[in-house]
Amino acid sequence: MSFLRYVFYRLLVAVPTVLIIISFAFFLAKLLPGDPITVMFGELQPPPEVRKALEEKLGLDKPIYVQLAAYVGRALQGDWGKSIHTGEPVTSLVARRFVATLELTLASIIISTLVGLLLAYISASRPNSAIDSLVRLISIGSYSIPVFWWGLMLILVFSVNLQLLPPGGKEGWRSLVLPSIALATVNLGMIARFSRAAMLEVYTQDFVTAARARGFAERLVMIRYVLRNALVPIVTLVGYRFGVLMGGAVITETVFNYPGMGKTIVDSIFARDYPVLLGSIMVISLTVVVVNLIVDILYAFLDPRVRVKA
Amino acid sequence: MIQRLGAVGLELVASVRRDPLLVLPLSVISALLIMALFASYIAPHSYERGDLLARLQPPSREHPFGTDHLGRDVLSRIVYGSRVTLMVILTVMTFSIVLGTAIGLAAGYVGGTLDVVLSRVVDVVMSIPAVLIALAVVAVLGQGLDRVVVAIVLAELPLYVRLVRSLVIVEKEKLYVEASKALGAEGLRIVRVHILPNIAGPIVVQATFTAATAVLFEAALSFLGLGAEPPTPSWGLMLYESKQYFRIAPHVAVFPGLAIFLTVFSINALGEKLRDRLDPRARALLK
Repeated sequence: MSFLRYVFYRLLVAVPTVLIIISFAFFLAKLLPGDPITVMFGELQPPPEVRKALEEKLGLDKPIYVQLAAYVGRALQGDWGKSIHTGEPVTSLVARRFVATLELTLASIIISTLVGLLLAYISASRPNSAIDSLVRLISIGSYSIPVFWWGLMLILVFSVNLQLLPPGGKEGWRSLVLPSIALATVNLGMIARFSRAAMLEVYTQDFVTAARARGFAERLVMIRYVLRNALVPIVTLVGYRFGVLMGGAVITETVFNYPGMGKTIVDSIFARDYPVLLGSIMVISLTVVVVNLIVDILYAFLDPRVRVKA
Repeated sequence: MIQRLGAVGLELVASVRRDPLLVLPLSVISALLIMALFASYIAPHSYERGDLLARLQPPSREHPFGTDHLGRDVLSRIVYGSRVTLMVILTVMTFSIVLGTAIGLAAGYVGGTLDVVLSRVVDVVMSIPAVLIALAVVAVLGQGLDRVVVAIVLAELPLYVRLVRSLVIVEKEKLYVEASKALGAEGLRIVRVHILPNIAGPIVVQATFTAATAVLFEAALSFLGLGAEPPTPSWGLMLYESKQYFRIAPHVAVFPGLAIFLTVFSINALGEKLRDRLDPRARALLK
């Protein structure tokens, strides 16, 4: 399969995924307690004839598949409804919050990749040594830490005791430091483990042995031959971890009172602001789909073997 | 049965000797089981009644982990909390294994349109972060520990469907399955007698990691105030309640968090060992 055909194929497969995600949101809306009209009026419920007129106006009397089609159509055009509480269109609210979450996610991807690669490099240079075991322990520890607790501990040390950094909110880069460290901590273990395995796989290949036979220094062999060739699968993993990180960001944000998607989602569940909840879930899921798509395409571009398999 | 348990015990002792790093995880998990079974004997105080005159006390001889904002003994709440954790682990594991295996078998063994539809749905669900699925389920069902279990199972289920499906597809093409078919065995018998025992290893490994995820997710949802309800001694709920007080009384946050961390760490460490033993594919990948 040529590269372009592969890209086309992947894009084609993504279309139903997007449609299914929007449909999920629709059925979720149907499952949520309270129908839209009851929620709209709150304490003062309208008389039956007004309710009936409203149902007709909103299309709630039509069969479910017609409603679904209408919902998907509106969602694709960017009409995700309005917040029940503030009346602000969901798209503009979510867009604002989404940027904050993206900042947090990207910052922690950078930190966790750098630290994870460093750990992997250290342990892959001395496989099965004591330091290798230590890195393994650190990695398991990393993905065992409850991120919300870790966040509280960071606040305790760096804000309450040392008073170095703000404990939350969003004012300038300083308030991004603790949340992104918290989120990076729980992510770096996976990256370290996987990168170590990827490096060791390259490690035993003939061209590495050949480089060593030519008398290159071990560090040069590790960086120029091993690391560079292991980078392709590592980049892919980092890309695929994006979804997990976005989910993690949701929880991290509530600890640090960080005004991103996570806080939006939790607040909207408590406030029963369902259009906001559904919009947030949709935008995060769609972002993950898009990022995975980009990673797939990038991977196929870097490693032609992938295209053949697909 | 007793003989078999004895053999398992001996093997455990042997593997601890070979790998001293297993000491910590095995002791933590044993402690968890003992705490859950004998909570009323171990806990020095009640988990729900506190002394309002002794609120937010730092650790002392009377209260080794201090007291919380209602004057309740933190150690006792953690001891009783092990029951919540264990209950969540067991129910989540049971439901995700049973349902996931059933759906995965249906997709992999039956194949055809059913497989296409199921795989497509699983693909999409897996592209949504698990935390969001859990949050959505809680939004629909409401707060409570039982709903949290449902939420975690639904978030974990796709993993099993995908795993079991891929294992079954490989297994059902093998010669011995064909042989038993030739001998006249029916579909369900083949699945039960031949396929299931042969794919059990990776499923058990996956289940271990599910246990770790279940602890983390229950704690996370309770921490968000969407999980266990007061006065349940859920470790996550304890952290939720500590949010207002941990600046002046750090112990109310430190100890429940440590309990979660040690439990999850131990389960993950054991899971990795199990994977090395039971799942040759992963062994080749993560050597």
